[in-house]
Amino acid sequence: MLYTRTMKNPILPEAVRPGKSYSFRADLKLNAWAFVAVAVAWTARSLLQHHHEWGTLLQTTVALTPLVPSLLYVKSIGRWIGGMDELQRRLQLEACLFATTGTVFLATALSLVAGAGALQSMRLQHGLGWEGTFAAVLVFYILANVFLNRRYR
Amino acid sequence: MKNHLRTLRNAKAWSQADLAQKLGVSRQTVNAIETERYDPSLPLAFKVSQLFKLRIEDVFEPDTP
Repeated sequence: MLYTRTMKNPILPEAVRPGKSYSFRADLKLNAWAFVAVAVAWTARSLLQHHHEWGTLLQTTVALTPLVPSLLYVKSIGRWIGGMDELQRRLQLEACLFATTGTVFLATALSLVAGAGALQSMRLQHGLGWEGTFAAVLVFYILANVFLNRRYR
Repeated sequence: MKNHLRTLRNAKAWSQADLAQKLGVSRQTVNAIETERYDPSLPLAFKVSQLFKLRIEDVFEPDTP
């Protein structure tokens, strides 16, 4: 995956960033499953809040439903990165690694602080939640992209 | 790793974008190789040398210690 292969038009990350190279089509192709995942997660949460009478199996199934579009989103990210040239692919993989590691560290730090009883926010006492995790990954990914692109500009 | 990519490209009067298109990579990659911030993979290095009809060691040379 890290090596080059013959490409007529390698995918450029600029196609999904605001600017003159932005392409709505490319953005939709990459991020459509993320929107579906968010919509499904909201729907699932709403359903679970209003149907406490459901059995454990059904509740678990509904709670895990957002994972399906999330996995398809990961697949579309993999395809997107796979279509890039070797330098861009390396940058994106490094950014993804940084985002993942950063989020794990943040979640671990929060857990340790909550365990020590020093966390005042009730919301964060139960971890980042899917919104927090998604936001943390996004922030770390953007930060990594800024620094890595500066290195190779 | 040192390389003569910029000299070779200028000799052909190609822009970085032209060379990038011929190699199937982004312009940023061509620029990173030219400025020696990025060492290309072996397949890409072969592609570069084949494009200029040169041996790979005529385009790229290792850093001398």
